[in-house]
Order: sequence, then structure tokens, then C-alpha cells
Amino acid sequence: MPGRAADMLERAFARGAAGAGDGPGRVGLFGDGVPLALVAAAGGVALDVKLAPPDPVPLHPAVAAVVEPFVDTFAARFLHRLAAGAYDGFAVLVFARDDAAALVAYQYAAELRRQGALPPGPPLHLWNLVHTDSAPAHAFNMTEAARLRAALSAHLDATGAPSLAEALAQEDVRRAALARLDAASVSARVAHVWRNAGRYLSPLVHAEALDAALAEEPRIEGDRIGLVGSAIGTAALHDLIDRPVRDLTPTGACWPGPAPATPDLEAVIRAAATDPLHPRAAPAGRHRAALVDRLAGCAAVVAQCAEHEEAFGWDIPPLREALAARGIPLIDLGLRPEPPDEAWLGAARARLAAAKVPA
Amino acid sequence: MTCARAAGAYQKDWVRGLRDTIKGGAPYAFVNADTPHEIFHHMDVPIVTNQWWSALLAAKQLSAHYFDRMEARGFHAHLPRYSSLPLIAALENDPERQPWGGLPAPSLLCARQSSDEHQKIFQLWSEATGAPLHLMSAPAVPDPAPDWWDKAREEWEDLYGTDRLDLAVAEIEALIDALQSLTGRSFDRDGFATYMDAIDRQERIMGEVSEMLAAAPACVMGIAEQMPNVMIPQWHRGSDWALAHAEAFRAEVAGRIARQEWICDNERIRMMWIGAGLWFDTGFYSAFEASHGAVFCWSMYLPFAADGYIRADHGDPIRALAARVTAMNEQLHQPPWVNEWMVREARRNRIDVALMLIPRHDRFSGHGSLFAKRALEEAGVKVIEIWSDMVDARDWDRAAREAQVREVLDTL
Repeated sequence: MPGRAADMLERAFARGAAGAGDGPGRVGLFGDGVPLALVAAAGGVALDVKLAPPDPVPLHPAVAAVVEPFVDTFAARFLHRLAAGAYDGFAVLVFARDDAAALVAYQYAAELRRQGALPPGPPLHLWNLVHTDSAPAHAFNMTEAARLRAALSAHLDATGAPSLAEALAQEDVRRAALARLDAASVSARVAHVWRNAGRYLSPLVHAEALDAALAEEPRIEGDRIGLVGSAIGTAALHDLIDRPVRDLTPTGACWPGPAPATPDLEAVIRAAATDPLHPRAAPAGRHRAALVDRLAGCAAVVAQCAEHEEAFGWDIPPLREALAARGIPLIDLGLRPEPPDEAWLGAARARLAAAKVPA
Repeated sequence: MTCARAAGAYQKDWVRGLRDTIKGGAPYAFVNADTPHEIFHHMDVPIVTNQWWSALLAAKQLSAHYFDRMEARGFHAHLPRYSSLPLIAALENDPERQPWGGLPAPSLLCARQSSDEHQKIFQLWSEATGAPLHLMSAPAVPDPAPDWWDKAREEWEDLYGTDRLDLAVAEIEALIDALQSLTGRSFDRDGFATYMDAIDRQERIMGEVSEMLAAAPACVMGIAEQMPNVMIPQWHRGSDWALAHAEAFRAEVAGRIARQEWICDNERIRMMWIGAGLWFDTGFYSAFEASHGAVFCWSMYLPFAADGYIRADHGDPIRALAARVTAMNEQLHQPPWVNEWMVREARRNRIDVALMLIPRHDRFSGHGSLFAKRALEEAGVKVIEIWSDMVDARDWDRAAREAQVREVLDTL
């Protein structure tokens, strides 16, 4: 049926983790960098709990009392949802420390629990991954991987789960489908929604839906626009860019992370640790160099940062300079509320029009 | 001469010597405050500490200029300030405006990745100067013990985690290798154990002073005078001068207590200053003594000298150093560590009112503030939120902040 796969992807993106039903084995992931195959091989169903849909969140007084106004919006919304019981029934919630929002979400949730201000709920697990390729860092990362596997095993039933190699192969199928999505001249909105729908879908279902939807999706004209900066929860900004994009934000090509060289845990961890597209790749110059490399050929690059972002903003002036040397203009849309409001979108629309994006 | 004046004079001489040394072309390192300074000191490599230089720029009333320039350069307005002010000054390349006529290019840069901006800021330093960057990882502690100060001195292996300490030790060893290459000198491990022992003795003296001030009937030394007495020797920790100064500081405090030399004849309200120093307006600390008998008797620097630094070496001083630095900054800002420590300190020091500096744009420092506020309030402490910045003077309104505090003090 025409459009059926696209509709399914749209629905999965719009409903987020709430659309995944209440089956067993749900593993909430806050922040990127947790190898999805590890979750699947442990019998878990990985579901993103950071990019929750922007529908109203009931404010919990215990959370409101401790969340400073500069706390990351995703983290704050997660905490209110956690307090409201949105993740009751999840087997475990895993937080990627190298996502600054995730560290705060974990620490605040754990402390509210410790103080008895929140009711018991799913166990919370902090996933440390050092984004460096030294031998001591790898040894540390392998210890953390063992800790993660132990936590997953303690809360999941691996009966019938794929082996790690099988789970990695399934992720390869997804990754290949996403590569076809990246190569296709579809709109920025389609690329964003279809990719991030996968945060709530198994890899094979996601891959099949991507290919089916792509087969029917009309292609659009125009040079590709680069997109960099903070994670983006909605498609509102993408709607303004009526062009194909090369999205290198954490909600773009950075997810679901790189493929390991071989189907084993060591390679999985090494690939995640050395991914140059991870915002915390160290040293920081690797990340910027990777962005410049992958933005080659773009007609322009659009940058945006979350309101209280504190890291990527340091890259914008040197990125602008590096891109300018290659003849690529950078359009900085500045600090963005999450989700973006009408005032911000109006200003962004004007900035893009002034810069002739889309031309 | 008071000890604070003596410390200030020593620092002035030392700074002059350091300036002459590094302006003369000697290699020096530019480092963050939560990196293992001990390795640099022991290898006789001069260091300039990022946050100290930042405070100095702020005290010279230069922060407004440089932060305006930061935004003019295309860095967005919500980026952290404390750790970036020296970078912006360096990028501006206007040495005649800066203390010492500016800093020459360092030979090595060192930062911990405790906060997301550090690796970015130091990367830009590295690109601007060509200095190699030595980054230390900062994985988080998944199960932080609330009473960390009780465990940190002896039971630090369990408190911070063996895998984290293994990583920190390996990264310190890599730093040692880098400094050996830089200087051509060997790292003296036996001497390092002796040096670490001297630091331990110094911090224990600071702990004694902290206990004396907490137990005294009234305040004999406000925080503006405490800070140089603690932090100047802290920058020189383990040296003969630092140990001698710590002993003199202890004797001076003991003498004042014995002579009942209270700083405020009418002390009625005991206050704590939570957060980094207000480096561009330290006169604020004495603004309420005459009018309300309200004294700032506590800041984190003195008690943290003991709780944050004393680490039994258990025969392995490098690992003890790793235990000191591996959560140094985190203990001051992250729940449950910060809230539990603040309550313990407030009770120990009989605090009535806490002024809490909450920087909007240094989120690592700002996070956890409201946990600490709520915990202090539950412990009976009145908390006043000061939404400002430790180095950015642009939105500091001294009269408005005084009025805010007076309004509360008037009710007590």
C-alpha cells in the first residue's frame, strides 16, 4: 500500500517510546553511544528515552524543586516523565555519561530516588565510555562493558535473543538502509523523522520500512545542506530546510553509531570509543575535522545549539573558518529552545532566507 | 604582618619570578585546577592554572571586555566563562592589556574532561599556540557515596572505583612520560612519596584550622582573609614554604581565638559563601558585618583542603594522587556529594545563612545547586540564591545584590 511504510515511520517517531507497547525487556537509553547490539543480545528492546515527543509533561514538584533553569531540556523532561511513572515496566534505564544531559539526568534521578522523593522504578545504570583509543582507555571501556552486560543480564531474559554476532548483523542491515536514506535526495524532514523512528524500532523492521518508504518517496532537487550542532527532538527546524541534508548532529548520521571491524565485543567497544562523530571524541579536534570532511560538497551548513549548550559552541567559529576555506558558508542560527518555538522558527526562517537557503 | 599579607607577598614574589622565568623562554604548562599539579611541581615544571589566571583577569576588571569580544568572535553567549576567560584573552592577542603583558605560548596543556567544555577550550588553546594537549578522562562514579569525605582519606579505592583509578593512574603515568620528554629529566619516584607526604601534612594542618574556626565562639577570620591563607599555599602544596605558612596560619588563628579577636564585635549571623569566589568583587564578603553583625565565616576552600586532598598513600603515592584528582571537582558540584557535604559543613560551622552563587553559564558548577539549597533549608539554614558568575562582571549589580541579602538579614 503506497505510503504505508512512511506512515509507520512517522507514527513511530511521533509516539516515541510510548508507542512501543508495554512488553517485557524494554531498555530505555538516554544519550548516544550505547551499542544497540549489546542490548539486543541480552534480550532487550532498546528504546530511546531522551527524545520524548514534545507533548505536555506533568510537572512533578520534587523534580521541579531541584531542576535549575539551565538544566538540559531533554533531561528535565525525562525527570518529570520518570516521576510520573512513564518508564514503569521498563527493565532498566541506561544513561550514556558522555552525553552531558544524560549525566545530569542520571545523577538527579538517582539522588531523587535516594532521598525518597521519587517512587521506586526501573533500575538506573550509568554507562561510561571513554572516547579515546589508548590502551588504558580500552581496558576501562571493556570493564564498563562487562558491567553493562551484567546489569542487562540481571534484568533481562536472554532466552531466544540473538547472539552478539547476529545482533550486529541486524544492525548492519539497518546501517545499510540508513546509508541509502542518506544518499537519497529526500527532504530534511523525511531524513530526520525516518532515521530517528529507528530509535523505537528493531533494526530489521526499521531497515525494511526505510527501504519500502524510500522506494515510494519522491526525490527533491537542490544541493545538499549540512546541519550541525545539538541534538534535535522535533522536525520543526528540518521543515524549514526544503533540501536534502547532511545531518551531522547527534540526531543525524551519528546514530546509531559506527560498525565494528569484526563481530565481537572488543571491536564493538573500540568502534564506539573511536567514533570521530561522537561530540565528545577526544581530542576535540578529531570531531571538528570529521565534520569538515563529511560536509564537503554541501552548498551551505546550518549550525544551531540548544539553549544551554556548552561544548559545540566552541567549534562554531573555527568550523566557520574551515568551511569558508572550502567555499562553504556557515549559517549560525544561534541558541534554540527545545522544542523550537514560533519566534525562534520565524527568526530562523528569515536567516535562512537571507542566506538564500533554500535558494 | 598577618599571614594573609605574608602569603600575598610571597605570591607576588613568586609570580614575579615565574613571569621572569617563562617570559625568558623557560617551558611552562598551562593547566586546569583539577589536574595533578603535583606531577608538574615535582618535576620542576612551572605551571599557570587556568582558573587562577581567570580570577586574576577578573580581579583586574578585564572580564567584561573579553566576554564582549568572545561573543564578537562568534562564540555564543551561553558558553561557560570561568574556564574560558584566559583563552579569549589569548585569542585576542592584546598582551599590553593583560597582567604580565600576557602569557607566552605554553609548552604543554593539561585538562580533565570533567565538564564538556574543557576539551574544547583546551583544543583551541592547543591550535592557537601549537602546544601539545594532555587530556585526562573523567568517567563518572555510578554509585557515589553520600558521605564521601569519611571514605576519601583511607577507603578511596572503594569510593572511586578500581577501574576509574586504574585509568587515572595510567593517564598520570602518560603525563609523567610527557614531562620527562619535555624536560629531559627523570621522575624521582622515591622523592615523590616524600613530597606527597608533605602535602598530606599540610592539608592536615588546614583541617585543624578548619576545626578551630568551626569550634570558635565567633569568627576570627573572614573568608576574604581565609582564601589567600589556604589557596596560595595550595598552589605551592608540599613545598617548605607552604608547610611553614600552614603552621603560621594555624598559630595565627589559635592566637586570635585565645585573645577573642572577633572580626565583628556584634556577630549575630554566621554565613557561608557557596561556590567559587566572587573574584571581581571580593569586598562583598564584608558588606554586612557593620549593618547586621553578619559574617562570612565559611567558604569551601579551607575545609576542602582536608576533605578534598588528604589521601593515604597505602604504599602507592601515584594511585593516591589519582584518588585525589579523579573526582576533585565533581565532589563540589554533583549530588549527592555536594548537598551532603554542605549540610555537614553548615552544621559543623553553626551556619545561619548561606549565599549560593549559581552561575547560569557554567553548568558544571551550577548543577546540583538546588539539591544543596533544599538540603540546607531542611537543615534549618536560610539560603539566598545569587544568580551571577564568578568571573563575568557584566551582570553583577552590587547594590541590587546587597539589597537582596539585606532583605533576608533584616528578618533574622
